[in-house]
Amino acid sequence: MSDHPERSDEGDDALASLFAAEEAAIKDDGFTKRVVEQAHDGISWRRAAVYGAGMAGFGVAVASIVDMAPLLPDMSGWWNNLSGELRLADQGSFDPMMITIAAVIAGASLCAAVLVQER
Amino acid sequence: MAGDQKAFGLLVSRHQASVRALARRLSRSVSDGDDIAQAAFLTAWRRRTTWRGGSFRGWVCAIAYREFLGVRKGAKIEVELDDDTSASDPGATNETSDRMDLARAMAMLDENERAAIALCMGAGLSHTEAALAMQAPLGSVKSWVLRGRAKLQKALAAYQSA
Repeated sequence: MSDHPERSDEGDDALASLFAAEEAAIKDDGFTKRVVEQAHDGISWRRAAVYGAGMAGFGVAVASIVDMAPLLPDMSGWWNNLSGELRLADQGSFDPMMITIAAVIAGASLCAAVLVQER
Repeated sequence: MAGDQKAFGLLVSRHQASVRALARRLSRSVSDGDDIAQAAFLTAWRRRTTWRGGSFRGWVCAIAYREFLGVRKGAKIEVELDDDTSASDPGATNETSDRMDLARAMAMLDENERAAIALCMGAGLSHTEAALAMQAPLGSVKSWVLRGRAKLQKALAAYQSA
């Protein structure tokens, strides 16, 4: 038995003709337009969600580095200078609890967005 | 990305009739079939990076079959035979009558036979492709096609002689 459906007799040809006629009777009637529009809409909001969550996470990460400045060890060379700059930049305006919560939310949002994107 | 969308639109336009026909045969409903076909194309678009090449139609038909299983599992599909008899010329009426006969004959098959026939004889998938789509042994798919085809031919012959 071959891998393809056998069409050896008249009955099979008649069946094939019926299936073909049924398919030929289906008009597009805006089906393609609707599908393409929905595909485009899907791209827009997913892209906004993924990039938005990514930007939020990046912002929180940068803020966290500034907040961690007092905890950075004193080191020689450029790292020492960077540590000093970060200490100067720290104005004490960030609440560590708030930063932690924001980071968790941003991370969860990003994971959810990536899961939806890959679904 | 814009090029991807344009190419996708061309593929949908080219294969929409095949995929919609398959989904209508599986669901035995025009509206549910079209919804399933639409969902299948959107799933194909989202998963386009996983397409390994080969027949796009076969790939989307396999997705449509899985969409159908998901819909059937989630909610009962309202069965409705296509009763579009609005065509005015006699030739078109005969064609409509033939399609009604085919729909009635398909409705008499069991689930696996109908799916195997719709995938292999309707959508033109090979037995191997249908077996992959149905996640069933190749031998079973071949049997379903053989049995389903015999039942269809018998039923259609009876309709024509009546």
